[in-house]
Amino acid sequence: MAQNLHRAWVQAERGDADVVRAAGTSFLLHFWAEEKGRQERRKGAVGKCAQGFLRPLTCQANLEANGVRAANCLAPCFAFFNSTTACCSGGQHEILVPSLDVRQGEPYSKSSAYRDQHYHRGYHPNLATSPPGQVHVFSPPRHAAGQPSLLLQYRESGLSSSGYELSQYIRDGADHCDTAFSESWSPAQGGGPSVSGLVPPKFSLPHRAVCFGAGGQLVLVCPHSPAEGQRPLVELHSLEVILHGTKEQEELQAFPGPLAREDLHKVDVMTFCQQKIATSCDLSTQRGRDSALLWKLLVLLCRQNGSMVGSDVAELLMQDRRHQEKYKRQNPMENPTRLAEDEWRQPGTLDLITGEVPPVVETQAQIVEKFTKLLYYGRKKDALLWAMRNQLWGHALFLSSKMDPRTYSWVFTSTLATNDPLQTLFQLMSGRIPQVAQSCGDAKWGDWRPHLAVLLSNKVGDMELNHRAIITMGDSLAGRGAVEAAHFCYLMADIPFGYFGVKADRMALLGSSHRQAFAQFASTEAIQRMEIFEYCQQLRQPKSFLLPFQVYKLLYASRLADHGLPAQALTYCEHIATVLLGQDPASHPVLAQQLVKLAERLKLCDPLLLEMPEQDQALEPEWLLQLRAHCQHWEVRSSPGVLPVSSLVVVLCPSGFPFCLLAMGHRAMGVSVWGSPLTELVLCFTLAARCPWALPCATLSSSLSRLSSGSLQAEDNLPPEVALTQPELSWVAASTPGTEGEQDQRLPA
Amino acid sequence: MVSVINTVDTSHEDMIHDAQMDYYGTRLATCSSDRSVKIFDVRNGGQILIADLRGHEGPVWQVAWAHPMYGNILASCSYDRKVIIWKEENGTWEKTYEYTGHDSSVNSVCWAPHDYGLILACGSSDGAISLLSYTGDGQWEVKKISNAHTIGCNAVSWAPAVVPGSLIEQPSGQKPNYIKRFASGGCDNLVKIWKEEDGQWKEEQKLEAHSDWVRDVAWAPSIGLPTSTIASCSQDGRVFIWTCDDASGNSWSPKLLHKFNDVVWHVSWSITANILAVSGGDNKVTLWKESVDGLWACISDVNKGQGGVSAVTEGQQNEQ
Repeated sequence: MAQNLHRAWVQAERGDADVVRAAGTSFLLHFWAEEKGRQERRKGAVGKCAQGFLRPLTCQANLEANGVRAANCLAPCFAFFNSTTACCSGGQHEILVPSLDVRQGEPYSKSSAYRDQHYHRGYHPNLATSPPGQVHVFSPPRHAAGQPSLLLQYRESGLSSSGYELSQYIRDGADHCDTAFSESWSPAQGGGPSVSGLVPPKFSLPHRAVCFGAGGQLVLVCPHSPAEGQRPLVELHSLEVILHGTKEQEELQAFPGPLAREDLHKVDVMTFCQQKIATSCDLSTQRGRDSALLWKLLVLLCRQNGSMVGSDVAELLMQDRRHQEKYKRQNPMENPTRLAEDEWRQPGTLDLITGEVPPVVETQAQIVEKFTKLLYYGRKKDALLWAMRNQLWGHALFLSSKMDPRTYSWVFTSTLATNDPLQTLFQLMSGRIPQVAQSCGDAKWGDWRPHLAVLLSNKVGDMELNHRAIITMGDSLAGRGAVEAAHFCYLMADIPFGYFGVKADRMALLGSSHRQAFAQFASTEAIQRMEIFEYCQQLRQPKSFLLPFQVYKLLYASRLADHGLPAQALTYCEHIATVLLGQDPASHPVLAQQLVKLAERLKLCDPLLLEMPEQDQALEPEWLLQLRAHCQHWEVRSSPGVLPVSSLVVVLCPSGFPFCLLAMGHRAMGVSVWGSPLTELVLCFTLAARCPWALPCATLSSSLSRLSSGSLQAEDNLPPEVALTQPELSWVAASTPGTEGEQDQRLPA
Repeated sequence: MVSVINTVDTSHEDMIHDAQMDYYGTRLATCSSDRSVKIFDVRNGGQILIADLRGHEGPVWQVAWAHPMYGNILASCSYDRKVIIWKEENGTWEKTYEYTGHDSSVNSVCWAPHDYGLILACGSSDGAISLLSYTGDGQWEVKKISNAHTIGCNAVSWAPAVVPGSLIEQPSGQKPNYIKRFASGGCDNLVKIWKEEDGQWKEEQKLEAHSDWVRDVAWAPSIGLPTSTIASCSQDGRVFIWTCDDASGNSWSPKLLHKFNDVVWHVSWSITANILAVSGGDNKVTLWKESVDGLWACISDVNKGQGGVSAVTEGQQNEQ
């Protein structure tokens, strides 16, 4: 086989037209013969393509081969060949045989040999690598020398390959030398500009084209051959059904969002949280317990309509602590006053100061007496230590209160373990940020929750300090990877939610670190949790939206749409739009634009549309209209266009109507013209992204730029040169395809 | 459960090569080797033939809907070297423009994001890619990238008009600076990314991973998340997911989605790119999704011809 091919190409190299033709023919024939043999061994029904651009070619080959293994095809081929030559003689038409240049229709010659070679090369990149204009020896594949050609490999291995297509062709040619092809395809039928060069068709076998529809459909073409009697079907599948039972879809369906639905009861939300605790929190790990705690906090917030006081949360923090931790002092009492403590420790030894031998067991009276005695000698610090050691707390406290403040607080704290929540409290009350704030999250510091509980329940004195202590605690926890715990602290400190891209922000989504990869950060669970938090906020204060969060609702809507739940996705879009329209949509332009794009595609998925009369179904919902108008307005304001930013101008046209022209700059997205409320004339039209508008803009701009954006009143005395002349107006009208008129939206004045 | 909600009998007389839903998912356009393009209204489970468009003289490979803000416009490309743009005027569909600038079969057409205007990219077996831009008054301006892919271009797909990552960044109030880009795949086994600079199209990236003809490329739609993604499939049975995380768009890295045992003909993204559909020579269609850990897993496969759907079990996934 390889030798045959080689020979064919060597012949071709000689350049003689006839020889080349013969070479091409024998090349094809060999291929065909091989394939014919294979084909019979292979599955019976190889797809028979009906387009058959190569069929005539094969016929030609058959003709020239004069019966070499192709005798059975000869008769119909002759018939076909005659018809094509007949067409060819007409002069205009091209004939699809390898011996003719398909476009110029000139005989095959050295100069046009490239065409043919190009065509051969078209079958597989490995077949030829010669430069244009030369016919070359069958060049070795670019793969390792010494290996058989790739083509051969493909054929022998039976793998599908691009080269295999050639065989498809030839096979088809052999199979289809019957009446079928002459009616399904004849190059001469068209009569107009003729068919293309001899390249392989993009597809020669049935295949399954696939696409998604905005309404949650998956479109699949059945891989049928109608020419063989199979039905030409296209199936529309429900993506919702196809993805039924997948983890992703179940997760989305379990959530009762958007949490702005009128029929939503807060019990549903709390139930969802409880289910999350039961199913997705591993309570054997600290992270799992922290995560459960966040969900519990949301339940609490929800139950109390979004409001809470510190002690509520403290109760929550402490409720599932099964055993009270024992806080053991790790170090012997540190002694800031550097008293010679050891001497006091040993009862029975001689007291150096009093000269007495202290009794081993001292009575209360003796203890007080000794305390007093120490003070006689002015040894306040020794007396203090003595009092503390002997539980004379009243004396110790009063004495220290009259000493320096440091000693005073030391009286409290020196008796406690450093990780004792009491320490935390006392340190805080002493006006310091407790040590736990820097150290929590560390294993040997134990649970962070009692400490936070103490901080929250005892908001006294310096609120700023308390606040800072909680934030510091959150930072420490976050630094040690306890994200849920950290965010719990941040919530208590009323830290605002920020943006994923701003790493200085402490939170972007509740319970999810925005320092990880985006996909992990913006998990479906994290978005749902965040939405519940926002919902709780709104229970307390309606319309208190977390603006930075709205983009995640859009992301969530996109997931709904792609998992076959477009109607729910649309309700999210509406919800986000409501939020944005309540604010300044220009504050989040990208969100507004992307929201419009998604909502436009989903707008027909609204179940309400089914109940509407058909003519109303084409109408867009009010929120979408408004949002789009805002987007366009923003486009204008920030567009570096021909006109200055104050591009809202009033122009009096000769007929006296006040027009407001919104010029869109050189990247003209659109131009809207509308009348004042007094006139009935409303012209709305769009110039699609085209340049023409820039021209009149430029001519007008010098005069128009003098007008400020506020000059929208018709009664303004406008300088005469501002008026649009009639030709200009008609130009604007003429350069605007009327059909686009309905597409545009009116802009609010 | 049966997932088929509608089976459209297209009455095409030969193989169907493409089927595309319009922007809203209400109309279906199909094209076939029988040289026709058909449009059906498939709302509410119906299948009303709206148009049977004749004009091509060879198999029609692909159809593409333009954004409805420009009206109802459909582009088709064919083996006859022509690209035809059809438009609905007063309820009837007619040919509005015919482009004959290619020397060979036109294999793929794709409309640019509507933000850029009406621009159609066309990839052809002559190796060139044409860009047709509507300039008004029925005029189309043509730019041509010659020799974009040696031997031929099989697929073109536009990048979405959104700055990667812009959705989740703190809004700056600055107008985003869109850069027009599209991807193409061809018989040189390459995926290429083209970028418009000063009105000229330049090759920006050459993505090499496939070992045989690239059959389809699909640039993932985006709502402004940080990563840009392209899917490509090839004669070699491989599907690659190309991602780029840097804002300049320079460093693309491939990840093998799967190696199939047969040619892979089509890759297609769901409308916001959470799911990728892959269709191969074994006539199986599989749906894939990336986990939060960045691993691609098959989440469903639609069995051959049956319309039946089976959930993918762990074992099956490993098999694949």
